Amino acid sequence: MLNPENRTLEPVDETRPEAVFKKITVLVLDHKQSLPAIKEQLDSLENITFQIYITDSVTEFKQFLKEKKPNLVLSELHLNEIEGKDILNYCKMLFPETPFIIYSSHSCNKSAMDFLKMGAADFLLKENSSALPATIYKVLRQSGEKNNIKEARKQRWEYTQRFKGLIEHSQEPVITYTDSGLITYASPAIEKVLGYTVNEFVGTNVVQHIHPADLAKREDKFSKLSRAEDNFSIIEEERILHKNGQYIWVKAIISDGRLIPGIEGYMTNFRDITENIVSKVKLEKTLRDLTDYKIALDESSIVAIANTKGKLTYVNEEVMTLSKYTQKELLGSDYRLFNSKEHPVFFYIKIWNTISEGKIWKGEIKMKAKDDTFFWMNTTIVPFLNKHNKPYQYIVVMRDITLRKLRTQELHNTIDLLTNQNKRLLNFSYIVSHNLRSHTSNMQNIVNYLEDTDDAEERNEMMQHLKDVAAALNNTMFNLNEVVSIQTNTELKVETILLKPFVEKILKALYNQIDATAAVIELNIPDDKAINYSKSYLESILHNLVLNAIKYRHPDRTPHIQVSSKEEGIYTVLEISDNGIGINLEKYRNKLFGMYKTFHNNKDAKGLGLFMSKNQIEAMGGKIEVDSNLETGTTFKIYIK
Amino acid sequence: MTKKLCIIDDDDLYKLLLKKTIQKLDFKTEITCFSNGEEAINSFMENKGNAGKLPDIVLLDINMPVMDGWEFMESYKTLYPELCKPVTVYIASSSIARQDIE
Repeated sequence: MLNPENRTLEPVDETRPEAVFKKITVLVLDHKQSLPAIKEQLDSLENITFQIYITDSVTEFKQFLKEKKPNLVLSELHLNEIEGKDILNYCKMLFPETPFIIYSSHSCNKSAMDFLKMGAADFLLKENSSALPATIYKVLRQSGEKNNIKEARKQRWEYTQRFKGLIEHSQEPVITYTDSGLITYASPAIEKVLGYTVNEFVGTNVVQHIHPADLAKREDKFSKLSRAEDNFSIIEEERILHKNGQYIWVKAIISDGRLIPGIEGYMTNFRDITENIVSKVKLEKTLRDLTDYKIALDESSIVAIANTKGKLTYVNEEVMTLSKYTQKELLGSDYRLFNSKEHPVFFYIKIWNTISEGKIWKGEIKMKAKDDTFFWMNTTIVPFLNKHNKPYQYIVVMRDITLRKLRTQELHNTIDLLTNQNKRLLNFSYIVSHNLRSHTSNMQNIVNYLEDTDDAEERNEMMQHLKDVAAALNNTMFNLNEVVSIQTNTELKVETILLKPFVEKILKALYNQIDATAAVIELNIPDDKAINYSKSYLESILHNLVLNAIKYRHPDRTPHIQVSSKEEGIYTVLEISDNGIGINLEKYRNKLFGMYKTFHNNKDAKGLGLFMSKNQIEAMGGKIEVDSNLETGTTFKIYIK
Repeated sequence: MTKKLCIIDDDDLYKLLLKKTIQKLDFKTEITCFSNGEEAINSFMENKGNAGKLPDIVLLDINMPVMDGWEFMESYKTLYPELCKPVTVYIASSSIARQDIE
């Protein structure tokens, strides 16, 4: 029996019941009146708190046993019809760890020893009740020790199991081998990675599994290890032969385990990195291909890259050659730098909308170089998309089609020219047929008439008509000749003409008409304005138009005619505007410049003037336009190249 | 009964000769002349209810100033139902331009 004071002097003992059990639950199988005696004995054990359950029913006992999970069981040997040994067996079966003390009022034919053999922790007669506390203390202590040992064993077992599990279940194989490379252990993962079973692999030599080309590298690392220069060594890439005859790529870590019990050699764990290597090789190839593509693209095309704000971030050599800007000027500049003003704004908006949606745009763009020359580009803009499918930059691939464009333009011009000439020719043939025929049929009629009549006066009259027709025919022939000469005159004499004095000279020649109608003529031409033109054509054109302006004056007002010049692109535009009667353009626009087309009931009108003027102007490479309102006036614009 | 003939043409000589030829052939024909379509249409419009002043036959030229033959025909089409007697129009032109013939 231990003295409480002694106990406090003891060094910290982890097996002391009060240290192991916070509160001791005791289950007692006895008459309920025994409780005070037992309680008194237990209370003498200071520092330990007891919770006591007492019952004299087997059923209740069993129920308590299961529910309360007591730390200790005290049992009477004979209680009513209950046999203590049956209870003991029952307890040992269900809770072998729970100490069972037989605390009996009378002894039994069986010796205490027999009960102890059956698993009882102790045997005590009630007459020795004073020994109960000490017995309980001893039993609890033993039970606590047992628990601790069990716990320690369990922990050690779990520890080993954990590490064994880690190695055995790891996807990365671990092998150990001796100095000479003889494999002494391989973890099961070896089968998954190399195809060999553990049994096949153990006993082989490391060297026979490694690619011959990778051996030297391994030897080097290995020798460093064996000289104990390093504790472990990493081989980033190594080829190991799979059972199927193919090499796989692995990353291996070799550790020196010569001093570790159970290994006494080297340890290697490795990982299959074939996929990484393959994708790395693929990536390298793709990268090389891409670089080649870029070179090919740069060499063959005109390439620029712009960011999402349209600022240039890359231009190849060709862009600089064509645009005549330096790289420094181009990078960071807006793409609008090249704007030729050829295309309307919505053309650019459409491009921008297309590419900012991530779609490819293809088309032809006219661009302006630094020296204001133009070039045409067949352009493809490819947006580069980020992972959200939003463009982060645009690559612009261009082909110079300036020459083709020029040729097409030339072709169009030629076609236009031919179409025009053809139209004029056709018109001319109508004119010839119509005008000559009207004269000839008139002649024929007169001649027929002459033949049929004997009246001298009538004959005279007819002769006079015949003369008139002949004169008209002659006049028509002359006009037609004029037209032909304009159309065929390829070698016009072009001179530099000071415009203002020239116009003044023509106005002087029209003095009579101007004077007779009191027309007011206003000149708005710079004194030094000069043009290159055929003198005779310009004279004819101006004479014609000014005369027209006077001829078709408004009956209610003084003719006011303005002759002015201005610049419009590549043209000098000579404008003759009047306040005359005007022309119904809706009706006559298409016929205005036709031959022998007249629109007023004017006896002088022959329908030739505007036709001739138009031909002359076009022969000089210009054009004529008209703007007119009935009752308000007419403006003719002559475009001079 | 005297037939009424109307000539619309800007060629004075043509009109004169045609007149003389018809008179010579001794048709009992009354001839009126107009120098362009507009004059003719105006006259027809004024006399649309007066059968005595409307012609029976019209000889129409195509190429004329102010209102040419085609424009005359356009106006005539709308006027025709209002006329109190049928007027037949013949196109008499020297034009060989395809668009005119068609």
